[in-house]
This record gives sequence, structure tokens and C-alpha cells, in this order.
Amino acid sequence: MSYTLTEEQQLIQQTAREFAQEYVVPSVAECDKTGVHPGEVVNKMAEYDFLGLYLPGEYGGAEAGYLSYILTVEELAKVSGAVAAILVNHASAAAYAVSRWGSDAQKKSWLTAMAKGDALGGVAGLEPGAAPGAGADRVVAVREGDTYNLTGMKTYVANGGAADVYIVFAVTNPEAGAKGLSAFIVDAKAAGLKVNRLIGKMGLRGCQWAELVFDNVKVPAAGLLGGEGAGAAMLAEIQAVTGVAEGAIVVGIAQAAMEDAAKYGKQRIQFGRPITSFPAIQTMLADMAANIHLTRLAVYHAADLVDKGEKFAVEAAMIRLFAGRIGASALIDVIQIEGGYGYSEEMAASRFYRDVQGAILKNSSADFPEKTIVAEVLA
Amino acid sequence: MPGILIFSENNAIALELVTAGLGLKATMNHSLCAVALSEPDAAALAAAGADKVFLLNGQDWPEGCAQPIAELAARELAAVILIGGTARGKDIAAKVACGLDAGLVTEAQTIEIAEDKLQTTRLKYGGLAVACEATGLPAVVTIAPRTFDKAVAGDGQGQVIALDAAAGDPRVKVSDLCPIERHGVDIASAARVVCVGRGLAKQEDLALAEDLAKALSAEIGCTRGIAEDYHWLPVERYIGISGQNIKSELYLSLGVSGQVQHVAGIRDAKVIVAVDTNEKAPIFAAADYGIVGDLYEVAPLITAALKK
Amino acid sequence: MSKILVCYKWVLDEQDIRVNAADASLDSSRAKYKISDYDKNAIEEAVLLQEGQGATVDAVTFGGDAVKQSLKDLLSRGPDKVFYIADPSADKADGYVTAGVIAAAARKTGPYDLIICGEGSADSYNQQVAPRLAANLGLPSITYVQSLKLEGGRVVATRKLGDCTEVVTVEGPAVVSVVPEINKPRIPSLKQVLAAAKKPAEEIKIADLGLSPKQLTAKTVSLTVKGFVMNRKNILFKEPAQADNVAKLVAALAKEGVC
Repeated sequence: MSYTLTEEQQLIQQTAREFAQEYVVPSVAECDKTGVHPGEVVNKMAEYDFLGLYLPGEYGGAEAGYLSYILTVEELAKVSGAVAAILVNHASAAAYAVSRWGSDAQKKSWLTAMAKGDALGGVAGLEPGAAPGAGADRVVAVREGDTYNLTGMKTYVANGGAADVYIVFAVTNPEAGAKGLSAFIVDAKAAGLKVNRLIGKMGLRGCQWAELVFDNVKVPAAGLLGGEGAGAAMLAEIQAVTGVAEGAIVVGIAQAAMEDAAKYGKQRIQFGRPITSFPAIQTMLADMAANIHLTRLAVYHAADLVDKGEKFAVEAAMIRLFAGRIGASALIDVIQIEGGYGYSEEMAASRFYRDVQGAILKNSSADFPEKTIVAEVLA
Repeated sequence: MPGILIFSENNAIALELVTAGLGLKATMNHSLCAVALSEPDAAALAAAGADKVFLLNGQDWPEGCAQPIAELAARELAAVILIGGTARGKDIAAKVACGLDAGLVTEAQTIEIAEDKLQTTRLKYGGLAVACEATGLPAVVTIAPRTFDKAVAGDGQGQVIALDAAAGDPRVKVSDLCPIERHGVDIASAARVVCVGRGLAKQEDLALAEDLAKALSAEIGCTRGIAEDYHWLPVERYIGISGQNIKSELYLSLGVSGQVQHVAGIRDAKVIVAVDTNEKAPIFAAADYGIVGDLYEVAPLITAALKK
Repeated sequence: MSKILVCYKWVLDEQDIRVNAADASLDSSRAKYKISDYDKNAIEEAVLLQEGQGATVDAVTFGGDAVKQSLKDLLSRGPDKVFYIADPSADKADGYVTAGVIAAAARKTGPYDLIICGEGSADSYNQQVAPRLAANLGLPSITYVQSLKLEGGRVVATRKLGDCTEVVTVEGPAVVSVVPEINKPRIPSLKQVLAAAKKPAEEIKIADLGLSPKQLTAKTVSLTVKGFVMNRKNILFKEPAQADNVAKLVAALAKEGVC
């Protein structure tokens, strides 16, 4: 077991850092202001192989491993949580699903497009009023010969309105409860699929959320992913593998915010000395540095488990539980340290604060990372 | 007698080297020789105090003079060869140093002889540091323009000796000599400079800086990013270690963060003023006067105040 | 197909070097290494020629033990192969020694149709290795090049010389140094980073270059290196209204006699 990054991983990290400075920084303010998907940045990310970094080489990916990919997520998040979130929803959620459960034909067409960056992916899992995978979904897919007919509405679809392909979860057997949920690969251009509206959000603005309406969308049977009834288990695994990457987003945002606060604090003079000489400020900085470090280790470790093909659900749940907490508390402290300066709308700290809140969301009453963790403890 | 040899293809710079050379001559007690490329230049150098001037004929391309200068330096037993630090000069200096199997100090700021070695200071790490170095003799040194004052013409009686330069390298052909058109005066010798950095949002907003420059009778300069990445101003106008070094009485920056490479180019300015939104920007540490604020607000106010 | 050699230096990132206020000494303990910025232009130009007309690109570097960390970074930027001379003596090398070592290495790994260098290194910026290298190899040099073409065996370069430009044409091979405006170095793609691991890196021992002790002894020795300390007034006008700050500034400038 090694706790240090390889030379190659360090170089990937450095390259992602340079990329973020060169191509992401210029769009950050605009993206945060308008909330519009930064298409040009995503195209650049495709050109520089970010979108398929950990995906198999056979299907156009770079096969660099999940940990290397996590490093790029962290670096992007230091500059823009939104851009990092776009990548995670594409790579850890949608592309992961096709890579993990897709047939060879599905991979050849969709995974290749997603790995090369020709197609951006999104997952449509949530519905108004339904806990995902808990059996209350109302988007139904009725099989009619060689096609499924999808009707209903999905909401909070990340990359919604920007994605070229969605992994849509729909009920194929209403009597079977959670076991009646199935996943479909749906072309965003499919007839009857409509972006009903974009949902404005507090942070991560630019990683669009949309409501998708399915009005008799015909999906060929070949678009069924991983077999009928497999949806609930797939959703759980997607949530876990995405959770690891979301942990990296928190680590990136919190690290950048801490550095910003430290830089500010060293310059800010009160009572004749820099405020970083006061124990109260030092305690805040020490706490966040330790929390960020420990979360980063947990994220890298879980990513390593993904790479080794080992179980990672419990570790991922721990990250979701812990990273969510430490991200929020670090940013409260950062705003405290920077005072009015950090609270100002145009300053990075206030954006970091809003972004970190959305990096790990517990989406519904069914989503308790605690449940996964404690099941392991009591096993 | 081992002595000092100076050369610059630009005679104004050669006259500055005479000043440097005379300083060395005082401690070394050796003769000061010069190489010139035209008769008037040779006469001017002799009048300014060169003991002997070699007039090199028959070489149109200054770089082609490297070999004859090296041969001359060897023959005259020159211990210190000072060459004007233009681009051509630096090229020639390296070749002369090779010809003499000698060390070369690039853009020395001070030169003296100590313990039979040439002791020099020069900038390192993009201007962050000053290195003091010792080079065994013979030593070649390039000196940036305007490091020394020009020697004034006196009643020097130096001898002028005509020499025929060897033929150039047959493998090399030089053509299309084309002066670079400058927009406005040479920024390096401008008396006042208004400098813009990345705080400027778009090219059209240069008008703000131009208005201020007009009110100050200043020239417009910029950071490397503005010239090389954005191409909003010609590269001749960027200030910094690899660009222009200014020696103006006033330097006023708008939206310049102040990276070390840039600051290295302004440190000889008499008064430095900075306007930038970021109070933490390093430019304020390098400035005499600063205003933390939006250049879009502050620059027009300064322009208006100056017009009163 | 043309064979190009590009030279680079692995230097400390000056942005991370701190000057201790007390004694002006330098603290480079937090500084990381990087490929010298000017050399990135040289690498990019070699790669542009490689893409444009087909060429093999070798790279060479001379430095302390740390240069081994540079190899993948370098290869990710496009060159096909890298040769490195890692020796502690490099810390004391000046332009004379460096050019001698690189010339000896190039004689071993060449011959080359074109050798490209940056205009100077980001740390010491002596701007002499390219012309010295040319002299050592008995080749013409073309310094301060702002545009470059390889036409068959001929090197055609436009030089930028302060107040003028000129075109220099050399009947093959030549050593050139390029100015930063010649191109904008690309950030490597992540696949290029990964591919770097599969490209060859070969060490050349300094002892195998056949250089005499004299050739390995620097002509210029560093005596001291001190941080440059800027002594400025550092007066910040901090009134709430910018108009008041401007009034104070203009008054101060008038007092200095500069407006």
C-alpha cells in the first residue's frame, strides 16, 4: 500500500492545475453569474481527455485509473466547483453506468462517445416526491415490442439541458416496488424528451439542473441498461462511486478557500498585527487543514479501492457523511476570517461557501450514508 | 599590455562602455581599446577616451565581427572585453567568449577587478535576487544599454587603426533587414510611463489609460500578458526582465499585480504608483504610493485631477 | 526526415522563492522545479515542426539529480526521446560548462538538422548557451528567433533584435534560440501525460562525454546570491472616497515633482 502519488499522478495533477488556470478561470465569474452550462470549457476538457480519463482505453478512454481522475476533479474544484460537478455527473455517474453495466454494443456507441467527449452524460434519477430507488417512482417504461415507451417527469437532473445522453431510471414493473426499477440509455434528442425548465440554484451555478419531461419517449429495447429490475442496485452503486468524486470536490473547494483565507489573514492587520497571529484564527485554520487532509486521504483510499475492483460502498458513505460536514464548517470559518471581504458577492470565498453546500447533497429521505455505515458496524 | 576592449554595434552604447571601461582602466592601469564599425564612430570613441580604436571594415553583419574581435582580443591580450548588451551584442559576446575560451557574464550591473578576477553583479531568478560572481581573466561581459552614462567627447587623442575583417561564414545569408515600427517613443527611455495589466477587462478600455497618459505626458507600457497573450499592445511595450527596463521618473500602474519579472523592469523608476483592486497584490510592496480600487473608477479621477 | 534536438533546463520556480527580510537571504525550501519557461517555447517550436512536416525530436538536459523528475513532464510535451545528464557538478556549471556538456552529448546522439534552445534560462538568464553550443559544434547560430522554418536542409529564421528584424538563412544544420513570442506553449493533454511513460529516457554519464577537467570547470563562480530588497515608501491612501485618495496622490506626485 502506498500513500504517495506516482510521478505520473503528480504530473496529471499539475496538468489539471495548469488547465484549470488557463481554460477554466476566465469563465468562472460569468458562469456563477448566469448559471449557464459553460460549453466551451467542457469542449476544452474533452480535447484534453478529462471526460474519459479513467474509462477503458478500448472505448476511447485514457484508462488512467479512478484515483488519477479524482485528482483532476480536485484540481478543477479548486477553481470551479461547477465545472468539477459537470465532470463528476458525466464521468462518475452517467459514463460509469454504461461502462459498468453496458453491453458491448452500448459501450461501442455510447461509452466511446462519452469517453471521447463527443457526448456529455447526465443521470435522471430523481422525481418530485419520490425517493430514488425506493419504489415510488412514477416515470414508467412500458415495453411495446422492440421498444420501451417512457412517460413521466424527472427533476434535479444534473447536466440537464446540456447533456447529449441521459441514463434514465424508470419503472418497468410497478408491482415489484424497488425491484421494478430499470435504467435506460436515452438520447437527449429523442422525440418526446423535453427540458421542462432549468432550476436555479444557490451554488455550483453552471452545472445545470433541469426538469425533464418524457412524453411517450420511444427507447429501443437495446437501450435497456443492465436488465430489467436492476435499477435500484445500480443507483446505489452510482451514488457511492459519485460520492467519492464529490468528496474530491469538497476537498478542492475547501483547500482553495483555506488558502484564500490564509493569504487574506496574513495581510489583514488588526490591533497592529496580522489576524493570523490570533489564536482564534489559528485554531480555525488548523481545524480546516486537518479535516481537509483526512478527507483527502479517505477520498484517495476509496478511489484506490475502485481501481482495485474492491468494495467501496462503506468508505464512500463515510466520505459523503464526513466531507459534507467538514466542507460546510470550513467555509463558515473562512467567511468568518475574511469578514466583509469574503462575504462580498464578487469574492471567491462567498462562491466557495455556496458551492460547497451543494457538493454533497442528501437527496431524499431514503439517502442516509449512516445507514450503509452502521450496517457494516453491526454486521 | 593586457587591457580592456569594448565593442557595441550601436555607438551610443559604445560610448557608455567607454565610461565603464575608463572606470576599470583606473584600477587596472591598462589601456582601453575599442572596436568600431565606421570612421565617425571610431573618431567619437577616440575623442571620448579610448586609447586605441580598431576600425573594422568589410563586415556588414555585426554578428560577423565576433571572430575578428576575438582574434583582436587575443592579440591585444585584452583581459576584459565589454560588449553592449543588445540582442546582437549578446550573440557576439558569446561567440567572442568561445573564441577566447573565456567566461561570459551577461548584463552585469557593476564591474570591478578584485583578486585578479572580474567581479560582477547581475540579476537572477527573474530579478528576485542579485548574484555577485567572479570570473577568471580574460572575461567577456555584456552591459545593458543605459547602465552607464555616455562618455563625453574630450580631447582624446586615441589612435585609429583600420583592420580588414575576415569574410563571413558562407553557410549564412542575412536578408530582409526591417526596422520595427514603434508606436510612440521608446518606452525604455520614456520620462513617465503608465502601465496596464490584466486588471484591464478589454482592449477598448485602453482609452482610459491613454487619457491618463496624455494628462501626464506619459507613454503607455504594459505587462507581458497584455502584449504576448492578449496582443493588445506591441511587445516592444511590455515591461519586465525579458522586456523593457524603464528608468523613468514616474511609473504608474493600472491593474498590474506585480509579478517579480515585471517588478524587475520597474525598479529603476524614481516614483512608483500602483492602482489595483487587490490589496494583497505584490505591486503595492514595490510601490511608493498606492490606491486600492477599481482602475475604472480611479484612473478617470486621476486624469481629471491632473487636468485641474 | 529531419532530426531536431531541443535543449531545456530544469529550474526552481522563482515564484516560490522567498527573500528573508532580515538578511536578504533566499529561502527556496518551498520552491518546486519546473521546465524553464523560455525552454517551453523551444520545445513547442520543435513539436510544431514535428507536426507540420514530420521530424523526430530529441530533448536533452543537464542538471543535478533533480532533472530525473523532469523527464515525464518533458516527454508529455511532445518530444520522442529525452537524454539527460544528471550530475551534482551541474549546480556550479556556467554557460561555458553547460554548452560544452550539451555539445558533447549532441555529438553522441546526433547529428541533428536543427538544435533549438530558449533565449535564456528562467533562473540565471545568461542567454549564452545557444551561441556557445553552436561554436562548440562548429555550426552557425541564429539567436532571438521569432519565426522559424525548415526548408529541406535549410533553416530560415526571422530574428527579433530590439529595433529591427532580419531574416537569416543557413544551409543546414544550425543552432537557434527562440524568443517567447514565437509561439504559445500548449498544456499537454492527459493522454499525452500518460503516453510520456512509454517514451524512452536515456541517461548519459558525464564521464562518458570525454570532457577534460578544465572543460568541466566553470569560468564564472558565484560568490553570493542575495534577495533584491525594494525600498519604497509603501504609502497606501485609504480614504473611503476614491476622490480623496486621488487628491492625496496627485498632491504627493506634485511634491515629488513628477506631475
